[in-house]
Amino acid sequence: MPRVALFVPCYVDYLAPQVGLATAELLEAYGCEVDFPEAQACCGQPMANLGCHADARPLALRFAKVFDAERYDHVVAPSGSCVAMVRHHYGELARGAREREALIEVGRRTRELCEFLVDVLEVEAIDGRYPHRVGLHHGCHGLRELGLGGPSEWAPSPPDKVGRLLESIDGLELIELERRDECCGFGGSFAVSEEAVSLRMGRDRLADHARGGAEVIVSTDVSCSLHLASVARSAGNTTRLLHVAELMNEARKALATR
Amino acid sequence: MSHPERAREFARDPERVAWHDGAVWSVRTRRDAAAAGVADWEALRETAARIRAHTLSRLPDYLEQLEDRASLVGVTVHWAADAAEHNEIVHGILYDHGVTRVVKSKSMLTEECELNPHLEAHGIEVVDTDLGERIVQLRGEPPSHIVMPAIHLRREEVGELFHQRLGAPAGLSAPEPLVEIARERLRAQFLEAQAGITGVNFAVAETGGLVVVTNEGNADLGTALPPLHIACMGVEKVIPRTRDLGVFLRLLARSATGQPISSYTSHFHGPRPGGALHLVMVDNGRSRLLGRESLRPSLACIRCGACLNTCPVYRRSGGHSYATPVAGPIGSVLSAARDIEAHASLPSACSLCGSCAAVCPVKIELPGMLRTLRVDAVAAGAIEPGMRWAARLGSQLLRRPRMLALAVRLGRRWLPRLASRWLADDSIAGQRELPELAARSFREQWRARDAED
Amino acid sequence: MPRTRGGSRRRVLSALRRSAPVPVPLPEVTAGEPTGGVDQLRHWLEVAGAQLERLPDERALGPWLADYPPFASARRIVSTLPGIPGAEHATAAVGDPHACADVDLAIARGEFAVAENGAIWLSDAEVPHRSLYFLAQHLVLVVEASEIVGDLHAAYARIERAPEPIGARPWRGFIAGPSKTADIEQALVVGAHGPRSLLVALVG
Repeated sequence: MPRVALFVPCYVDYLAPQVGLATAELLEAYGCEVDFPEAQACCGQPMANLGCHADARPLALRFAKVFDAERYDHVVAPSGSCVAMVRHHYGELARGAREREALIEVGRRTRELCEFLVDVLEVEAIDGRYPHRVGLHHGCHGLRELGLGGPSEWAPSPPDKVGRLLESIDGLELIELERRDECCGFGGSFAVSEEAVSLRMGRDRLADHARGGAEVIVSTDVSCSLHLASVARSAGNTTRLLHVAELMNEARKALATR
Repeated sequence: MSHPERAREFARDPERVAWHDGAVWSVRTRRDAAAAGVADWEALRETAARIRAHTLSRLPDYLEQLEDRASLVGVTVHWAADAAEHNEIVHGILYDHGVTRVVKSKSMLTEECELNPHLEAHGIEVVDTDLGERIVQLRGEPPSHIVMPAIHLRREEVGELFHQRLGAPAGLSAPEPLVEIARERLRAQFLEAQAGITGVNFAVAETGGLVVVTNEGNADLGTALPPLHIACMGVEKVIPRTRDLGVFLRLLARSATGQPISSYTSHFHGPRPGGALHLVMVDNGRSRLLGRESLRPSLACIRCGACLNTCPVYRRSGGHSYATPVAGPIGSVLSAARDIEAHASLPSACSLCGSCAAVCPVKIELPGMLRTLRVDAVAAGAIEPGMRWAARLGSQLLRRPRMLALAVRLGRRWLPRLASRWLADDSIAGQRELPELAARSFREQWRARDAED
Repeated sequence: MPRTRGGSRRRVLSALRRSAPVPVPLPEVTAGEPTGGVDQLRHWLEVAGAQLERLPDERALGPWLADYPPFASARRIVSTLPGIPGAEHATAAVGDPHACADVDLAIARGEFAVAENGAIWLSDAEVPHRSLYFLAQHLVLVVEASEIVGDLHAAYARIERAPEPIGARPWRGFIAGPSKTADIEQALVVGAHGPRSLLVALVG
């Protein structure tokens, strides 16, 4: 049985722990033995994206050590942006060939939850029930860097891994959006340094989902949902903002309890 | 002023933001439809990217070949190391021909070199003939988009401008009569011009041919009528073979406006009988860009504007918020690479969504380059000190689990009180609520769960 | 004489050589679709705001044009094709490009058409001056129906196969529609600076 380590990004750990729990429960339901190495911290994405490689590097090295290949075959995280960082950008932080090799190696074993379910566990459908109109918000990194969905820019567009999983859930209806995959405007430090544009982008995303009739907006990144939630709340918008792990786990449990 | 400050100004008129965002997004939509109509679109992008990468790997050779073949067909070739030299050369050619009236078609290079003010200071009248460029020229402002220079203006504003400067009747705002007035005025200027300046979309090394693309026909009117044609190009515009044009031209108009091809794709192979054709090839920092492996592919740009159209930040902040000759993602890369201190806020005017790279016809990895330029900004000490300290503090804290746990406990108590002090800006207040720290973190719950088992 | 400040050529080339990127191979470019259909050609010309008419041969053009409004209302018509009633038959190059300024309608031959985008390839070889294509208020291009290639790859393959003597046909190009602009609020207006209309007469 493959040894799976759960990577719970810092902001999920402290701001949305239920997503980490849902992820663990889902993986266990699909037959994985899940471990959570407590020594884990942050993948270093915020520092790297700020251009502070010197600050990101120790976190990346720690990540590679904590999720050592000797202990774990796979690292799974409920976050497209963190996984994209680890898989595609860790090499940039390395000093020297040994570090580079270690950082690239851990990247090869790290996956976002949905791609792990589809590509490794070969899950084709989620046995679950969720009779709601759902708006799917693809986090940009997961969408365009990990191939979790089909970016609207590509012609033709590849199949949507996340969308397919969601549509397999009984009763779930994915709504149509005018702009299928426009960015929500979080972007990490962008939300602070370009606050005006960030907020505008968040409001526009919410409006698109509202026009499409979404009762619930589901995302592959907690950072996106927290950003959209913060904009929504201040406008009195009570649309539920969930992570895909939460939704799939809720759907699964709804069927299991019947 | 930085990009965020200008973006905040732009954001003060939400209706205008919505209009600008919608207008530019519609061009993205048309691009999508055009791309969908080409069976091998993604393969075409890949081929274009590789042709560019190859050419950039042998740029001096191709430039020498271009110079050789162009000279054979009667083109006079000049080399300019920088913007100042480019301007001197162009002025010199005009001076030698006794020219005081010039018509110019769109050239982002001449924008970059600030050619117009230089010529005007020497008593030469320069009329920009692309309609969008003429509009911003009359307004005394820079273009806000490389393909649609006046996209930031409403028709009423153009009508008022034409009333003030072109003698149009007051209150006219319908595009057709406004274009007709511009047509009439510019036609007179084409007929009286003594020289035409154009950019170069592609220069073919194998033949010495120069390709200039327009929808309006202004580059052709500007070069068919006066006897003197000066073509200005950045050194990265050279392509190896005639057949390569098929690849780039199938991508260019579709990416720019959603058309399968522009109305006019003109190939200049030497001066017209009785005329002269000068080609000015410009470095102006391109050789430095060529020397940076991570940034080199930005030289592949074919100036289609697709990245501007898809960029959610560009659409909501407008081209003028970048304060650069070229705005949007590619503009941020080119300008920040040239001068990181002057443009330190541009690499961060980006949420790293990656849509730009996904539409780029030559597959430039723009977000990766903007991340590289953020590293440049940090190294130059040009980022906000607060961010620098946050990164340092965060890195230290996140490596020390016990300290982090303490910080979280304190945060649960103090964060809500601090949050309301942070959100002081009145344009932002009330637009978002900060998330709350969970009562029990994931790891606390996991430990409890483990203990239960 | 080139005006390069002494040494700039050398400086630019050596600055470019200093960066010495790793060699990257030049990819092959497809020869494309050698033939194209009239329907596809017509579609893209119409999308561009142009018009396509099928005629049995060149002699049918004159009579057909009599009812074509831009022709019927034109005061000065210049044609490189002979036998068009009401048109000046232009046979020789004209030195002054401004001489075409008052031409209302111009008729010229195109060498071939490209079905994927409606583009017509032509040159300044047969016109009195290249300015005719742009100064005329309305343009008519005559193309043989057998000369339609499928896409731009095939077009350039064909162009590459026809080597030009040095100095011949200094202007060549594709014209794919009337002139147009969308620079005012994205509103498409046909007839920006160049011709207000394009008619492609496909003969044979």
